[in-house]
Amino acid sequence: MKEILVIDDDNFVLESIKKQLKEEDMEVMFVDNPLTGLSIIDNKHFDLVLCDIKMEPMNGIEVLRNIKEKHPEVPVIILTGYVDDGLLEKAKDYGSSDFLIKPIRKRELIDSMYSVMTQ
Amino acid sequence: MNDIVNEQNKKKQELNCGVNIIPVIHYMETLFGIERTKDIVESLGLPMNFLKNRRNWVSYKFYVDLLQKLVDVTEDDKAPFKATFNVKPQSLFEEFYFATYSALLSESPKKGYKLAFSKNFYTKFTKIGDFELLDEGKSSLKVKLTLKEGYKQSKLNCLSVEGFITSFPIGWGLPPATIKHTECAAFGKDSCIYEISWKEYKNSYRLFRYILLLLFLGVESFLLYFKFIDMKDMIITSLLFGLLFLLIRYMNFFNRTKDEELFNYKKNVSIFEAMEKIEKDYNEILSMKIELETRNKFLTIINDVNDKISKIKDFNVLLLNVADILIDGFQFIKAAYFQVSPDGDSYVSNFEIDKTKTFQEKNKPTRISITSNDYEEYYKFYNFIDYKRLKETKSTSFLEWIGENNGVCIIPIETYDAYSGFYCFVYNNKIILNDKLILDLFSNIANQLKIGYEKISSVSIIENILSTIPASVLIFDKEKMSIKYFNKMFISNFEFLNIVGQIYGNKLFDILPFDEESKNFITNVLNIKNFDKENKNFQTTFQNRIFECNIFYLNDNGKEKLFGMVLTDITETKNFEQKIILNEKLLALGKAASGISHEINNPLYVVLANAEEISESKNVSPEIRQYADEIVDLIVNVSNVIKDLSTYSKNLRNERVDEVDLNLIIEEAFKIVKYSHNLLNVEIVKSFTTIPKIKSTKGEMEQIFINLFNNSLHAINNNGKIEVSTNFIDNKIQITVSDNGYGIKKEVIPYIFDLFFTTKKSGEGTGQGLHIVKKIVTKYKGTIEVKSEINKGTTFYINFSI
Repeated sequence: MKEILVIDDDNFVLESIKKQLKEEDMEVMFVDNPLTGLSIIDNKHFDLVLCDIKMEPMNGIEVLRNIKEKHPEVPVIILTGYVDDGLLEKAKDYGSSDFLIKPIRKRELIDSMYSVMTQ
Repeated sequence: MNDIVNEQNKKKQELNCGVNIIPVIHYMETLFGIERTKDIVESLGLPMNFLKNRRNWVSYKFYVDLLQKLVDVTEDDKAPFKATFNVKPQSLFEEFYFATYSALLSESPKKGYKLAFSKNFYTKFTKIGDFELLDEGKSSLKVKLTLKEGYKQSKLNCLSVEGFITSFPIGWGLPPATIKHTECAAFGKDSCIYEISWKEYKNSYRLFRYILLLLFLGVESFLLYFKFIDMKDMIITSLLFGLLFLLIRYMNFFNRTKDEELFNYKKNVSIFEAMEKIEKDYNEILSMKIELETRNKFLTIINDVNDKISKIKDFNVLLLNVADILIDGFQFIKAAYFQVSPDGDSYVSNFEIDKTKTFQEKNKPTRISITSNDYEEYYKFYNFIDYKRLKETKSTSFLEWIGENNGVCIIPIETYDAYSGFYCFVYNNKIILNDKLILDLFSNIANQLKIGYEKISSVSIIENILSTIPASVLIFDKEKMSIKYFNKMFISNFEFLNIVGQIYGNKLFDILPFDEESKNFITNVLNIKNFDKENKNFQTTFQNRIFECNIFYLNDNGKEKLFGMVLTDITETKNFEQKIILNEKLLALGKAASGISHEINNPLYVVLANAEEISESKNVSPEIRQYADEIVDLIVNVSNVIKDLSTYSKNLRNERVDEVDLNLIIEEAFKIVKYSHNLLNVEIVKSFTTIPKIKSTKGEMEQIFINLFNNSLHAINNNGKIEVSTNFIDNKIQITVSDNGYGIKKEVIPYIFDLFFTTKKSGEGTGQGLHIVKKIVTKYKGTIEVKSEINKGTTFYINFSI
């Protein structure tokens, strides 16, 4: 069973992702606070982290950086509604495995997740 | 000698020697002696013994030559008069002969005159003319002398006639006559007219003699009657009395004054004096005329020089031209211009012209250096010139006749720099006119050249400036708007306009095709009162180039108001500006897009997820499922639109590159388009052939056709035909999308793929559709072309190479 962590401060988005992933063979944890998310990662192993960018108090790029510092083996997919090339580049630099822009279809999301996890 | 005599006899026998030649010879003999007179006279070609023979005749020409000789040797132009006036009897016999003759003739010279002027008499002495008595008074006569055809009256001849006439009364013991020569054939009249008046004896004197005679006769008769004397006695006493009478007459004759003082030449109003005065006046006028002509000539020269100065821009060429003018004006035979050398101590020739040589080397000046030490070399060329003196008199022009055959003229030209020097001209005809006039002219020319040089050098500075600034400069006058000046940049800037013909002198609006608005603006600017305060700049377009125009005012040169215009081509700048603006717009848009994207995308995600739920739910009817699917498709579409707004060049779409079948893509695109358009009245014609798959993303390929179909539907207004075909030819996938809509204007076609370019009304489109199409096509190494005709339709051709 794959363990997935989703961090997004918009609960509606979390709900949507939940709907899209509910039939998959995954155990998904939804967190709406980036700090909470970071501390959870410290305590638990995850196969994949899905992370938004625009968040308070810490944005997704920071979260990504943190994760990669402490747990470099954990792949992170940035899943954001934000359209900004600067951020995309940054995300790549800090080691995100993929960069997806909301909204994303269920099929494409799942494909992308498996693709990253099997790398 | 006989030959000469015979020859003379063969020539015309016109004047008798006795009356005409001998008096002149005698006069000369009294002045010069017999020997010298013989030499003088015989130099004319006839022997003295021939001439002294009264019976011989000579020609009129000889006579005039003799008189001229007389004038020359005596240096007295009155000599002919004096010669005939001083006719004296040469011997005692002649004396008595003349005395008796005149005594017998009459008391008064009048009869003598009349006799002399009668045809019978004068033809004995002259055959060249006729005398005619015009009028007579108590002691005056008016006589006309007309020379025959072919004989021209000479002043000398006239003088001798005067002399003869004036001296006539002396033969009566009376003082010389006074003569008024009122008309003279030597001065243009047909004949000579002489008014003669003389003194007669007093009547009382005559009366006395008659009384004496009567008394004598009375006494004689008385004595005879009273037989105191007889006839023999009477005859003797009468004879004696007659002799007494004669004696008295002789005494008068001999007492005539030979003294020339008696002869008051001044009393005779001779036409010659008047003529001489006129001649003197004439000479004065002539010299004035010559001076005027000279001044005129000089004026012409200075005008020519000034003309050259105003036209020629090169000082060397100007110096040469001015030298030519002066050479022509004064017939100089050599000319050169010597320029001060950089060290200031020597002169080097700028050019040299030698008119004495047939081959002119005007254009290839040789350089001859003159230093204070080796002016010998210079001497060789010009043969003279005192260099030292030249240095001293550097400031003024001078003329000097040097050597035997030549003169030199120096004109210094002061330009305060390298061109300073002097003209050196050589002449070989003595200039007889007023030197001062010439030197004034030269000073004038030197001054003009100096001013001209200043103008040229300043003009060339200005020219240099104006030719380097990257703007076109025009100067024109307000009145006619004709171009007075244009710089080099103008030519290159406006080459594209293909300006035909001369620019200088033509009107501004004829040269540059300003539009109406610009013309009005220019005309208004030219007429405003307070020039500095008003706006004088505007932009205008010629063909496709944009120019910034600035109008400026030049001080008027007295006769016309001059304005100038500076035109700068700002097409590139403007394009650049527009590109910057566009870029900024894009950036702004990108920023805006990215700013709000988050706000849009999150909620959309929710909608998408819900729609997916519905679509996959088992409790839902097919119809509902279909609706849900539509929702999903459209949401993806909308989110793609937002992503396309981003400036990010890489693919933001959540798609993987895959092998894509364009035929299927096209079908899909139609499906999506149907959602937003009513296609009831649209005929869709598809002609697909099997084409290989292309490596790209589904979404992007769909976007191409969605956008094209949207445009086509707009063009046909949802009422018409759309045709799509796919082909695989020459290793290329070819797709055409055409409609029969309103088409695209020819001028607009180059711009349709530009971002934000749209012909739709605001609100109807953002002008991005085709830009994105091209962006995607180009991204996958394809090409897109368009052909269109107004009201016929538009066709897009897309090619992808495999």
